[in-house]
Amino acid sequence: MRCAGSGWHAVAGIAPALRVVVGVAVIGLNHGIAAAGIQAQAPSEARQKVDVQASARAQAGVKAQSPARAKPGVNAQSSAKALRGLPLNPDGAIRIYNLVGSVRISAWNRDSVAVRGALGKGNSLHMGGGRTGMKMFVEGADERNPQPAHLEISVPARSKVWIKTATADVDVSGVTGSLDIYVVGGTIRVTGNPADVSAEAIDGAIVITGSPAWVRAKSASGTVILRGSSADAALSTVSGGIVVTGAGFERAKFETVTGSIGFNGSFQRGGAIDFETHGGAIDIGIPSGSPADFDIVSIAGLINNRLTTQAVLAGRYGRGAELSTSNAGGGARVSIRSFKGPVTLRRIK
Amino acid sequence: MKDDIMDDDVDESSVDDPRFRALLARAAELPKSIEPPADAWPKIREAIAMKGAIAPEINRLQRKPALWQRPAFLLAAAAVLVIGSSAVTATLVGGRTDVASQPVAVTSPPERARASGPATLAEFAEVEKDYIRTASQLSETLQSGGGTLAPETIVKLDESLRVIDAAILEARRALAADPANRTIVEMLSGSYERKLDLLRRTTEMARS
Repeated sequence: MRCAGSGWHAVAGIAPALRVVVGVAVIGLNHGIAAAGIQAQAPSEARQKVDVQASARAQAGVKAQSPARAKPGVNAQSSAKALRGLPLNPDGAIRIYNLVGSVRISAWNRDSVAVRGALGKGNSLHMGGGRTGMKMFVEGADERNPQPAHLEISVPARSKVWIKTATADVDVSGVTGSLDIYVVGGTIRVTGNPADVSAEAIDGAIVITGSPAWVRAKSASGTVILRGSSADAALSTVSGGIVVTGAGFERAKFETVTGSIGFNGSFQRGGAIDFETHGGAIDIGIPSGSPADFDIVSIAGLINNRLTTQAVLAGRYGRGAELSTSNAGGGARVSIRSFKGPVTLRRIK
Repeated sequence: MKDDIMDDDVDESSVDDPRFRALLARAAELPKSIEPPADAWPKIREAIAMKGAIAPEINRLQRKPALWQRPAFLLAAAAVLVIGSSAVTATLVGGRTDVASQPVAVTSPPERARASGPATLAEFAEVEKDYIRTASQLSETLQSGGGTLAPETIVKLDESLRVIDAAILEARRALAADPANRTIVEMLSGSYERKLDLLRRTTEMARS
């Protein structure tokens, strides 16, 4: 758990299997929530009973049916219903669990969190915490067959957001704090310039548009897309592809097993970039002025050099191919290794 | 051996046969035991390791008995419990560990292996045992908690594991044919790391 632990979190962490009812006193709602059109609740009304055992059950009941998979692009303005709001420090932490449906996070310049959306039949929203950290989750009436809940949550821009879903799409925009997103089946979309992004999916695509300083994105069968830049990036999939477009990569690693890797962008002088695949195709396009010292080895595949005049050599072990070549005087170490997938270097404008 | 033959299997009338005596004399000159060829053990170990690499996944898909009764599962469950409780304790005691404060090196285990890890098939065979053992433990842990995963997710997961196993098998064959190829060793290590990472991630997601 990477977000700050309040007393509420501590209780949840110490005794997750016990039925502990924690009264969360909400002091009041600030002007941000009121301005958002959500009625402030009196302290007594805002006192919520948060069932920790229910939280544990909700977290454990990951089973979901595919028909319940969220439809992307829920219209926040037309159908979203105001559900709840709580104050949160501008750099506070928030943890969100929603097993099925969708979660849409948007940043605002207020020190509060507002939740809108459609909960779905039988679902209830539990939410509590303090100004430094809060937690919310959707509890379904039937844990074995959860109904989709579509949440649209406004959070302070600098907040640290942690989201976990089973079968749900997650869409985050504008957050400049840290993001931790875990999805079993569903698409993760991040837009903006968060300080760091950790996004993991098993069966789902990850699309990051922006310039996170630090990014880790992993999927198994889904495609991972990064449009923008990052000083430190590591993307990996098994059978899904990796598509990277952008610049400013200082340290990066792109790995697949059978998925293809496509890179269109440029490297930083002094950078270290690794590409590795077993059977996927690797296609790298860089402009003429992008510095790079390529060291390419393919055990049993082909290398197609359309970038420089350097000839491709036969592999030192009697098969495959190898190529060492530089572009624009070199200066960024680019290591490419493929077992049998073809490797292509080319020039882009 | 000669005594055994004399006692059990030979007609006494044949003992006087010169050819039989010559045969006994030659047999007596043979060493009592011989050492196996010097290169036999690596090949045997490789064959065992290959069987071990595939068998856990096949077993995982085929068997259905009560896992909780198995010593391996109990050990894995104990390990998960210890790790989980340690993580909770560390979280409660230490609070948030800021991602940005962690080393952001892209350096992965295969890269570390590149610096000091195995360079040949024989060296890798030792490391491979750990990979296989860990993968087996994670598979069993995942299976025990796999009921929380949707069926379609399990199908996708199995597909991904099969893809990785096929890559491991292919690289393993290439390494057997070219046992000193360090690049293959490193790529093979990378495939194992990806398999372990996928199993760990899925276990975490299924558990919490």
